[in-house]
Amino acid sequence: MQDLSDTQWREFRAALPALGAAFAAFAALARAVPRWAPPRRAATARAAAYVAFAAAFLLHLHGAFALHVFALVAANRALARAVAGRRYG
Amino acid sequence: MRTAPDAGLVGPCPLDAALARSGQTGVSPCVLCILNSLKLCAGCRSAWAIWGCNVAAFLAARVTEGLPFALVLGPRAAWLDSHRGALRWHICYNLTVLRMLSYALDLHWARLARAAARGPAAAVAAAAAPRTPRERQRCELPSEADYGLLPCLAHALYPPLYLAGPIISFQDFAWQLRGPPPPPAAAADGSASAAAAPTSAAAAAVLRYALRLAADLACLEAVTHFLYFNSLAVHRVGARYAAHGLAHGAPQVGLAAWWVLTFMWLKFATIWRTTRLAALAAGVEAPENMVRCFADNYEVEGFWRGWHASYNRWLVRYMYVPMGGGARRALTIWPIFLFVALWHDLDWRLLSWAWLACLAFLPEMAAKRAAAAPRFDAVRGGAGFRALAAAAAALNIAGLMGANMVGFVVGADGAAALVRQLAAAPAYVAAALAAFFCAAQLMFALRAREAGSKAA
Repeated sequence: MQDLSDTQWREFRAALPALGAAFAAFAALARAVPRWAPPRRAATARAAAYVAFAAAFLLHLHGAFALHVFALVAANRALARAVAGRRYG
Repeated sequence: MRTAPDAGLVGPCPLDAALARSGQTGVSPCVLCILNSLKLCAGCRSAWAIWGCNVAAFLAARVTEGLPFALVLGPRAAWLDSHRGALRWHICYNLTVLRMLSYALDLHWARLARAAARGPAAAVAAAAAPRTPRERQRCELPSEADYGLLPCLAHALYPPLYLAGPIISFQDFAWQLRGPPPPPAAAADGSASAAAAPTSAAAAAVLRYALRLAADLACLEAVTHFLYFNSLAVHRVGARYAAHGLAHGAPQVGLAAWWVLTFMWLKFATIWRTTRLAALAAGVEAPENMVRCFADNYEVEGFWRGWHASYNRWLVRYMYVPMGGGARRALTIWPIFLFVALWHDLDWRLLSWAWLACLAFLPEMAAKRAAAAPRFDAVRGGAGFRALAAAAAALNIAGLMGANMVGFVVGADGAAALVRQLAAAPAYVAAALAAFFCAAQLMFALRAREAGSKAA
């Protein structure tokens, strides 16, 4: 008998093996990128690899609604680029 | 390297006009509180726009249960709503919006700092690469390109930390994206070993953390296999069967509250340490969320700092300090509390718990301020002062446990009955207070030891 009355824990525990595999794959990717990317562009290469993995990850997690997440992050970035650093007056 | 722009405004604040009009027409205090909060939060138009748009998007996602395609793009896109995936996106959006705000505000303050320094080259040349998490969070990145689209997306959607992970601020993440900082010049003679040592040290640290997570998971599995207090509390078994002879007085409620708290702490520790381990294994150091065991705590402030610590750090950097910090503490905690309640989507059961904890915070703040007064400097190290402090801490712990009993076990409607039950069991209350007193003394000794080792 096991107390799985807590929804959050029940769902996380059920997903733990799959999550573990996904995180292991991501760690392998993250460690591999600096080896084949030129040192000066390492940051960009890492970021690109992370975003590519995140796109696949989000597509699996949220389906079509991954579009919402990308759109909102991009919109926030556009807003920040436009208004950041300004004071009024 | 400043963390926030000056509080001075460069022009008339449009909110003043709105406030004046509200005062004249007798608008409700709630609206006035919100307007004052907005004014406190805003340093200038940019911050309003950033906060306003993000909060509006967050509320829209919450209210529409995830902005369905049929609503956003019209009925012709309704077919997309059936391709939902495994997890509702607006649940994870709570965390994503914090990371988005972190990016926008970091960029905003970095540009202000660069403009104030009057010469980007001068500022960049002087900056050494930061090494500690605190430095990484505060130091502006060298160029505008570091705030580009790819780093922004990588930070907001970083897979290990996306689901539940510790919240890492944008600058902290972006510095780590650039790779490890160059070793200090003094290690030039042992450069080969210095380069190898960080890698093996990092691997050993990851392994140690994995073992720590395994211990948390083992404890949680033991608790859920042998103790069922969470289920008993959720289904209100005590209240339901008390009429049929089940013993459910103050001692039983106290025991249930203790074990429910234990379960909650282990659950969150396991989840957060899993995601933090994944990030460490991939090369990014995120803040530790569960800093301290829940039982190793006697104050509300300690609870704030030790449970979901990265969230507390985020609130301090992006809300508390820009609104005035410690100087306006009595004012600033209320908009922050409002934000935290909205963000957590608290239902009435947890909201009453949160209000009780806040009420317990006020005497705690007053007592700490009184105890820190210079006239007690002579007696501060003595046994008498410590005993008095431990007694105050014991009362504080009693207040916190009371809040837990109401919040987790009996609910707001059972609070009055609980008070009657506690009054009917004075031996239990006395024993509990004595136990809290001893625990407080132990905690003081532990903290003194930590402070000593940090200073050494």
